[in-house]
Amino acid sequence: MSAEVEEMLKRFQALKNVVGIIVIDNDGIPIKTTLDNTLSVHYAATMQTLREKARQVVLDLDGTNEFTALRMRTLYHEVMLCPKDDYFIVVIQKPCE
Amino acid sequence: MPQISPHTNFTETNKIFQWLKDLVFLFKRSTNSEKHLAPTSLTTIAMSDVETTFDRLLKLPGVMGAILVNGEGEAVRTSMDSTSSSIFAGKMRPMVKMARALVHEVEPTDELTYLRMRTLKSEILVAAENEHMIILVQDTNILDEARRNSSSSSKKSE
Repeated sequence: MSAEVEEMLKRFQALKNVVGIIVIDNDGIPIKTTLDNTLSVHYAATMQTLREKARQVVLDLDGTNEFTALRMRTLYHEVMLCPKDDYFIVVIQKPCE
Repeated sequence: MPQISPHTNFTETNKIFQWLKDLVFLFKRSTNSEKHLAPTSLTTIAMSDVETTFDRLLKLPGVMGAILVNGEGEAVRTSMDSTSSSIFAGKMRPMVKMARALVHEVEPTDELTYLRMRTLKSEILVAAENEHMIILVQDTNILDEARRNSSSSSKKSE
């Protein structure tokens, strides 16, 4: 199973615009990453807070609704966050114009 | 399986974002002109631009509501009822603040342009510039349908 995961990560990483992919567990620790360690840990901590906040906001707005994904566009990058039960994935890419 | 993929077409998002930026700009211009006691024709022109762009926003696929929030956090122009507008505005404000802070933390030169939150039922797009904010709520299914149609049509034309 982990071979499949590696394969998928490699496939996504090979895409032109993708800067990095980080898989982060519920404790905020990056379990799989294609970026260097310091940056991954930095991203993991920040995205963890954002994920919690987003989940709270969606739950407050509508108790039946569920937060499925978040996309944040900045000047240079686009950061996508996808939460699952035990972990969440963060993908950073350079948006093509 | 998550539906976001790096293949997603950005032209549509950029279009929306450009409209949102125009709207914020026009709104700021109109509020400033009111403060300086400009002739009424100028204010009406500026306000009508805001109205037109706002209406254009509402025509996007699956839009359930759009809220234009000013610096004080009050919903200035909205297509939903005032209670939900104020609730939305109130909830999105700290979210945007946090997102901005996080972006700054990771890379100090970077700046948040917009934030798109996707839930099961709806997709909330928040564009923030200085203190003004535009919140656009769209239905997920209709939006995905429109995206699929637009990407398939653009693929056909290639």
